[in-house]
Amino acid sequence: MEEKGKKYSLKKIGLVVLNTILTTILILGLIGTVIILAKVGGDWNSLSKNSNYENSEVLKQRLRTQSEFIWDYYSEKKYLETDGEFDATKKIDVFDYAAMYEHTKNYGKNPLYYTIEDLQEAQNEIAVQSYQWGYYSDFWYEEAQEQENVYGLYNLKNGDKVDVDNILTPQNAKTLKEYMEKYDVSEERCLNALQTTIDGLGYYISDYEDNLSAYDTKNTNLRFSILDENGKSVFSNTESGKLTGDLSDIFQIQNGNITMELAVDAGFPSQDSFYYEKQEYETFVPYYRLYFWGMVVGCIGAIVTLVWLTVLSGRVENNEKNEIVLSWIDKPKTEIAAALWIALGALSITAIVWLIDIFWNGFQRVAITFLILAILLFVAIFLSAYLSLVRRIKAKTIASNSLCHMIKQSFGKVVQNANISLKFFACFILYLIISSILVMEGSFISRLLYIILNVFVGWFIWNDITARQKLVDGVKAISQGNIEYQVDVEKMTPLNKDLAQGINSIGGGLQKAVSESVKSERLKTDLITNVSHDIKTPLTSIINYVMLLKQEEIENEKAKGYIDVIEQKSHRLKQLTEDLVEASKISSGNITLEMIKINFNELLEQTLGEFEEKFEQKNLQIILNRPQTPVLIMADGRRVWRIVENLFQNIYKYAMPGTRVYVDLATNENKMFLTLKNISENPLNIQSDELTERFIRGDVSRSTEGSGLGLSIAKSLTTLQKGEFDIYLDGDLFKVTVTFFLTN
Amino acid sequence: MNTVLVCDDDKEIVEAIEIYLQNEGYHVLKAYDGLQAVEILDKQEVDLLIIDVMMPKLDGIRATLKIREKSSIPIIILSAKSEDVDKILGLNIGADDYMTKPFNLLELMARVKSQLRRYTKLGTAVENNQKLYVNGGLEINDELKIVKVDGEEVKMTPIEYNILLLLMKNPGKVFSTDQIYENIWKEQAFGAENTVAVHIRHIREKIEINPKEPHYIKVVWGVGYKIERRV
Repeated sequence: MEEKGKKYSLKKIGLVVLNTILTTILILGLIGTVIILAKVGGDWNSLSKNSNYENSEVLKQRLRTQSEFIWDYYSEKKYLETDGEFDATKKIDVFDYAAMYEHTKNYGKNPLYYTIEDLQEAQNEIAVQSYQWGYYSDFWYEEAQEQENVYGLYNLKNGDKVDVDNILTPQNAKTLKEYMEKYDVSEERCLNALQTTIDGLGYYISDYEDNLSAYDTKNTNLRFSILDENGKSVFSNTESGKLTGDLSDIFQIQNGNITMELAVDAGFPSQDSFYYEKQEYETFVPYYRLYFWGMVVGCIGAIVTLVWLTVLSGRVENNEKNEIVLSWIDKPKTEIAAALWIALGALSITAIVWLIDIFWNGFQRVAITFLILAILLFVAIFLSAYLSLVRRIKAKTIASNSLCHMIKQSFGKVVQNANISLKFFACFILYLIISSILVMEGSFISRLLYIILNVFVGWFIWNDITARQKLVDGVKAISQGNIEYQVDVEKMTPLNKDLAQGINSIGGGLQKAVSESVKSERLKTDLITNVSHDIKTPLTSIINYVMLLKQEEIENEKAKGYIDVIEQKSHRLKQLTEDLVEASKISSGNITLEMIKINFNELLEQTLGEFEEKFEQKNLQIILNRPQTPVLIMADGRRVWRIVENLFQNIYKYAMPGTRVYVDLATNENKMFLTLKNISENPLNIQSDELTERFIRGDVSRSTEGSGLGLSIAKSLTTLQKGEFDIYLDGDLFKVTVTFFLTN
Repeated sequence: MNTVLVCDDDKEIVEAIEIYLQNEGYHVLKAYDGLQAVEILDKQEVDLLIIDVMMPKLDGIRATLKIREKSSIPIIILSAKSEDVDKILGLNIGADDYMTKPFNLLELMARVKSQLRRYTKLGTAVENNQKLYVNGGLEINDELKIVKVDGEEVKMTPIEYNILLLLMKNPGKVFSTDQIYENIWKEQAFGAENTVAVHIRHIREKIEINPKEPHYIKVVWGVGYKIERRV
C-alpha cells in the first residue's frame, strides 16, 4: 500500500494538470486563431491595422452577408408595395414571380396578373400538385400518380381537382382558359407558374414583414441605401436615403447599374447582433496575438510535458525493482478499454465541434465557457487514454491483456489438451463432411474446391511423410554412431517437431557424453605420461646403482641373489611404465597413424627373424604356413610390428617349452588372417576376453616379467587400424587371430 | 685423456655416470643445471657433453642450443621423455645422440666411446679409395673386405658382409627380404623363410650399440630394410 501512495507522486499530478492546461490552451488558441483568420478572410495583417470593430474585416464580412438579405428585401418591396406601403390589391405577374422565385428565366411573354389578396386567399383553399416538386403529402402524390394529368390544383380538404377559375380570376383576362386560348399558352405552364406563386407568396410576405421590422432603424444599427445609376437613392432605411452621421466605414456593392451602400451606426443605439458582435470583437480580437502565441506555447509545452509523462508513466520512484506499476485503468482488457476511450473521445469531440459551430456564428461568452470545459474534458480523456496506452506498452500487457489473447489462449488450451487421436478424428470428420458436401453440391466451383482441398490434404500428408523420413534418417544416423547428426526441424508439424527435437537432444546428449569421456581419457593419459616421467628418474638411479653394486666384489651369495632380484624388478618396473604410457595413449586414441601400403608377409618374415633365437632358447618349434604371394594391407608398419611383436613376445613368455607354435597367414577376397596357436605352460583359468583387459594375465604368470599390457596394446592397435583381434582359449590351447582388410 | 662433462639435476645419476666414466679412464666434470654446464664449457676444455633435458634454470634443449652457437663437441642427451617427437627435437637442435631414461650405463659408455672416436679420430682418417663406403661411423673397405664401426674393425661372415655391402652401396633404398635373398644367394627366394631377417639381426648385433634401437640398419616393417643416407 505504501507503493500506491508513491504511484501518484506530486510531480506526476503536477505534470498531468500542466499538460491538460497546456493542451487546452493549444486547442483554444488554435480554434481562436482559425476562427479569427476565417472571419477576417485570412488577412492577418488587417487585424493589426484595425483594432476597432467599425473598421474591421469582420464587420465587412457581416455587411457582405447582410447585403444579400437586403437585395431580397428590396425585391420583396418591389413586388408587394405601392408607394412604400404594402398593397394587397397589387397585381403580380405569376410568370415573372415564379421566374424570380425559382431563379430561372421568365419564359412568359405575356404576363398573367392576379392580385395579392386573391393569391393569399387561394393558398388557404387549394393544394398545389406538381410532378416537378413532389412536395405534398403522400396521399396527394399517390392520388396524382394514378391520374394522367398530374399537375393541377386540388382542394385542400377533399383532394378533388379544382377548377382554377372558380377560385382565382386573372386581372388581364376573364378566365384562365380565355387567357390560354388568347395567348396560346399551355395549361401546364400556367398552372406551374401559378402554383409556385401561391406556394411561395405566403413565405414571401412573412419574410417581407420580418424584414420590415428587422431593418427598421429602431431595431438595427445597420444603415443601408440602394442607389440607381444616377446616384439617386431608391431604397434606404434612413430617412434621408443618404448614409451620413456617425457611421462605420461604408461598404459598397455593385449589382449591374445599381449600387448598395452599407454601414453601421457607430453609436450602436440598438442592441442588435452588431452590438453584441462589437462587444465580443473588442473582448477577443485584440488578443489575437495571445491566441497565436498561446497556440505556439501550448503546443511546445504540451509536447514537452507529454514526453516527460511518457517517460515517467508507470515508473515509481524509489522502486528498486524498476517495475512498471499499472493503475486500475490499465486493468480492463485492451479492446474494451480502447472502445471506451474512443467512445468518450468521440463524445467530447462532438461537443467541441458543436460548440465551435455555435462560436462561429458569433462570439458568445457562454459558448466559450462550454468550449473550454469540453476541451478540458477531451484533453483529460485523451491524456488518460494515452498514458494508459504507454503503461500498457511498457508493461507489455497490450497483447497479453487483450480479449484476443484470452480467446486464443483458452482455445489453444483446448487444442493442446485434446489427445492426438481425437484431433485426428476431428480433422478426418471435418474433411469427410466438407468433401461430401462439395461432391454432392456438384457445381463447377465446388468441384474445383474439392480438387484444391484434396491437393492440400495430399500436400499435408506428403509433408508429414517426408518429415517422418527425416526422423528415421536421424535415428538411423545416431544409432550408427553419427552422434553429431541433427534432424532439420524446419517446416515440421508440431508433433513431428517434438519428435525431431527429442532425437536431436538425444544425439546432443550422446555427443556431450562422448566428448566428456574423450576429454577425461586425455586427462588420464596426460597424468600417466607425467607420472611415468617422474618415476623414470629415480628408476634410472636404481638401475644404475644395481649395476654398480654388481661390479663390487661381494662374497655373500645371498646378497648377490638379492641384487639379482632388485635388478629384475627394476627392469620390470621400467617395462611397466613404458607400456602403461603406450597403452593409455592408444586406448584414448591419442596417437597418429602413418598409413602406408605394407606387405604382411614381409613383416611376418622380419618378425620371425627377430624372434628366431628367443624361440630356440625355449625350444619352441615354429610351424609356418603362409602364401608365397605378398599380402598387402594399408597400415602403420611400426604399429603392426608392435602387434605382432607383442603376440610373439606373449608366446615366448608363456608357451610351454618344447612345444610347437603354429603360425598361419591366410587370405580371402578382402581380408587377411594371422592365426597363432600355442600351448600354454600354465593353466589358462580365465575368460578369453579378460586377457585383453589391461593388467590381466594368466593367473600364475602375474608375478613373472612383463607388464600384462601386451595383449591389451595389441588389441587396441588392431582395432585402431580397423582390424579385428580375437582370442580363443580351449584348455591349454591359446589361439589368437588378427584380421586386416586387404588393399590392392 | 678425454674430458667429459656430465649435467643432470639428479646428483645420484651424475655420480653413477662419473664412476663408470672414471673406470673407463675419462676425466669427468659435473654440472647440475644448464647454466652451470654452459659456464664450465666457457672456461674449460671439454671433449663431450652428457646432458639431461628437464633441469632447473636452463633446460637441456636451451643449453644445447646455446652451446652449439660456439662449440661442435659431441652432445648426448639423456631424457625421461621417450616420445618420437622429443627425440626428433633433441637431434634437430644439434645433439648427436639421444638416450631415454632409464638407460643402461654400459650402453651409455659405448655411445660415449663411439662419439669420441668419431670426433677425435675419424675426421682425418678418410682414405681416398674408390671401394670405400662410408655412412656415419660405419665404413666398408671392399678392397680389404673390412668393416669398421667408429674406427674399430668388426668381424663378419661372408653373407653378412655381402648384405651390409648391398645396403651400403644403396643408401636410402629399401630392400625387401626377397630382394636381398635374390641379390646375395643369386637364386629365387622360394621358401627362404626368415634367413635374411636372421642375418640382418646378426649384423645389427655386431654394428649397433643397441640392436633394438638400430642406428644404421633400419627395419621398415612390412616393407624391408635400409641404411639411411648419411654424410
